[in-house]
Amino acid sequence: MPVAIVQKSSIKIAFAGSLRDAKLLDVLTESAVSSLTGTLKLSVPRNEYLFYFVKGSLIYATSRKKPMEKTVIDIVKYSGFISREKLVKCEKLKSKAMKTILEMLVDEGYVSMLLYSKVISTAMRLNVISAMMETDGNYSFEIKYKVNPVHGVKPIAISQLKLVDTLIKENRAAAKILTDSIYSIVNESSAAPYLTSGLPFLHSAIAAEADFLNFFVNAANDFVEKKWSFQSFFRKDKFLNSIAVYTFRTLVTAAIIVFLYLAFMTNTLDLRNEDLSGKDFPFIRNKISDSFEAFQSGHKKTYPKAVKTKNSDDKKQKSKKQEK
Amino acid sequence: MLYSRVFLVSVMKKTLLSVIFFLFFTAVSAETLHTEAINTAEFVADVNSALVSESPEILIKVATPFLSKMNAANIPNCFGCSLYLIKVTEKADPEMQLTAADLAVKFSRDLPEAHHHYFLRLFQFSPFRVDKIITQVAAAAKTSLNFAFSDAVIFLLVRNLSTICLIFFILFLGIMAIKYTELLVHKYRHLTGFSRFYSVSFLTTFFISAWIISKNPHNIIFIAIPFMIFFGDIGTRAEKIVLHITVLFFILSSGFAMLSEKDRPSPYDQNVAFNHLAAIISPDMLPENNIDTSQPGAYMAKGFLFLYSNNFSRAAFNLKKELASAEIPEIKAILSNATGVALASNGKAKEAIPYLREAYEQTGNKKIGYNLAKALYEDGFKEESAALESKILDSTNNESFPYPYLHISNISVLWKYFCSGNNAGNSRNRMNCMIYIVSTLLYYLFIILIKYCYVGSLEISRCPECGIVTCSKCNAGGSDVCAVCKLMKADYTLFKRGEREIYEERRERFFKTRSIFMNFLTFLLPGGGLMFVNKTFEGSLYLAVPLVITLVYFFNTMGLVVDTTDSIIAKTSIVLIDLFFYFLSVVRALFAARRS
Repeated sequence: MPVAIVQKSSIKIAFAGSLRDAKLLDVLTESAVSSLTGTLKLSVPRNEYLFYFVKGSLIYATSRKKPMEKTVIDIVKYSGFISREKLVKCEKLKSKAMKTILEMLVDEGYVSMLLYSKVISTAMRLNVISAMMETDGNYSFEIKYKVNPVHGVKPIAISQLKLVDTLIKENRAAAKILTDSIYSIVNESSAAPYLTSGLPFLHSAIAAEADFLNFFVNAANDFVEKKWSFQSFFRKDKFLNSIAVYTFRTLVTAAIIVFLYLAFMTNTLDLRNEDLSGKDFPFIRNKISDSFEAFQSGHKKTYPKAVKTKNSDDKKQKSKKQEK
Repeated sequence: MLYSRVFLVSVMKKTLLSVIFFLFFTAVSAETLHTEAINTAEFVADVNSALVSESPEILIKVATPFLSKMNAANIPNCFGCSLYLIKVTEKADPEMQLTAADLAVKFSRDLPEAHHHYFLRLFQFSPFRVDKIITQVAAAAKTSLNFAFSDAVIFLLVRNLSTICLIFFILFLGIMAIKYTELLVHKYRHLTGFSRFYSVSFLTTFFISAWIISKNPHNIIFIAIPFMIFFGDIGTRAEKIVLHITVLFFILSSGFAMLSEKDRPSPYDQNVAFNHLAAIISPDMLPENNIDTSQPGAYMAKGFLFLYSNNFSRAAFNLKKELASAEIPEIKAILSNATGVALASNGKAKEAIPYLREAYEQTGNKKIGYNLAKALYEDGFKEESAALESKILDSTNNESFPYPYLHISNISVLWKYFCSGNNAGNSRNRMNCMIYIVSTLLYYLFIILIKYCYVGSLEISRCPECGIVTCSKCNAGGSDVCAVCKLMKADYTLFKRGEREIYEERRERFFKTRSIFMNFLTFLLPGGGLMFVNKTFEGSLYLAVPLVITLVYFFNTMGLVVDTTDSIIAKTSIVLIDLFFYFLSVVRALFAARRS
């Protein structure tokens, strides 16, 4: 798991405050301008972010809600770079090799170091964007003696963050849609040639040469101008697929309900426990045994007349009619 | 004069009407008919006197006239005679017992108990007569499957087989539970997310549900399948195969038991049905008030009784009456042949020919063909008769052709006809069988899907070096040795002081516990120890064979009435077979443990 290792020293808080008084961009700028080394902790409702600085440079950002390893694996899984079969293979191998799935993917050569670097940098930037969209929370900067950089992560320039801040200020809704839909498929569009149609948004973002933050801001602005869009749920193939899936599920549910109704409310599926066939066995044995007793004693047993069944009554009526 | 004539005619009419009314009145009531071909009291007295002499030859001499009378009257069986011979020679000397058993078979060729008794007597007193023993075993099986309770025999056998599968399954799971306790606990904890609350509540819910649904024995499969999948994942491939085969057998045998079960009770009185059956196959078993014309088969029974008493005209009348209402082909064939025989015996060969021809064409039975040939000859068709006779004789080797031959193919068919009339053929639970098998299959797929969703990627095994659980999610290791054992083998100096001792103590404890359990299972169950040391197929065989033999016999599907000594002999043989398998499994398990 990629972790920025903080060497412990005596705790020293450089500054602290609330997001109601100062924007996160200002806090990050202040940390950069002051050339601080240490961690900026941002506590927001139901989450906590940590920003790692080395001499004013933002080198890493994590979120407690979603650990970095999980974000990286999600990006690898859903951005369309690795096939499902390769993932399953590495999932099986990881236990024997005592490694994480990401390490296995790297070892097996499915994830190159360049791709890994881009993925982890993107994951860090996604954390920063999410943090910048927060409006309420407390922050504090703890000065550290040394913060080791995470291998492969590209630091973020504060100037890039200003673009993001402007985007959030002007088109917060678009930024929110984009962060929530990074794994969604992009529709075909000639106005946004940097996006590959039919693949997830994140695939194009990682494949692009530009930094993720610049790419994100540009894409969001174009999205607002309706130059491109995500695939609609009601798109023909997707919609038909969904219809098929839900129809099947409905049929299965209906079948289960019918089965349960027949089983519990009617006698249709009643399995008989009377052993009707099995009862013949002791019956005939006992009859032979009784007849044998009579055979030995020489006295024939007298049985009562046959019980009148509905059937026998019908037959009697029929014979009477015939007689008439 | 005219007045007196009119009066006389009116009186005659009234009398005739009264007679007709009386006849119809009696026709719908129970009647008593008997045939006096065998005097039972005389038979009992003669056999008793023969037994006093303690000579098998005298017993044969005494029985022979009765057999001759039976053959002369065409009576197929005398169950009472056979059962009496079996009973009174129970404690006689071996030669007498063998003679009585042989006579019992001759008196009742259709009685399963007679063949069963003779086979066991041969096995006991004359074990080298292998040909006779095999013949009698085959005859016992054949008569059981042709007798009135043949459906019940099949049903009970198949149902017992499913019970045996279930017992085997439970025992096998028990052995697996002892063998893989830690793995099962670990997997279960994964399933419930390592939550104590969910572990306890899920277990409680499962067992309460299991208890509720297992009230219907057909539902037991829905409890067995989750167990099979849960245990099967942990065990070896052989154990998985054995579990699946057992469950598959259980499903198939339960389904087949449903198929052999009647789907509704008999609409007629079964006591009367038995009387009708007895009148045909063994008239000595008939009680008083034996025939009821309101039930199917009454005229057939009367017809056969008149036939046995040589009252051919009344026999033909009753058989024709039954033939008019019967719809089942096999019953019609029996009736046609009997009617033809009755008519031919009454000198009406011309009238008999169509009946015999119909029966012959329907069954292709050569003995019926011979009846037809004789009738043709008597009616003057000598060429046709000779051609048919030579055709029949040419196609057989050393087969005797009695005349007249009464065809009673399958007693089971008769019994079904007497109990259910012409609807006898449609009494099967095909629907239940189909629903049971399909729903079980779907349920199996459903559980497999759930497994792959929740614990699909989980690989649990045990380190063969120290026995610790190696889990793909918790502590890696897979099917090889665990990480600690790997390190221990590579360089044990890496361990801190005291850690190595703890490791070695754990290892020793694991092997000691395994050894104790292995010995415990070896002596507790046949094949238990072998299954514990991964000799699954061999162990399963040692467990399954005694289980099947013991349970099938002790469920008593032979329908024995008087033969109590037979069951003691058989029980002793069964116990000996069980002991043989038990000791063999113990020896094999001890050798296997020594090697491993």
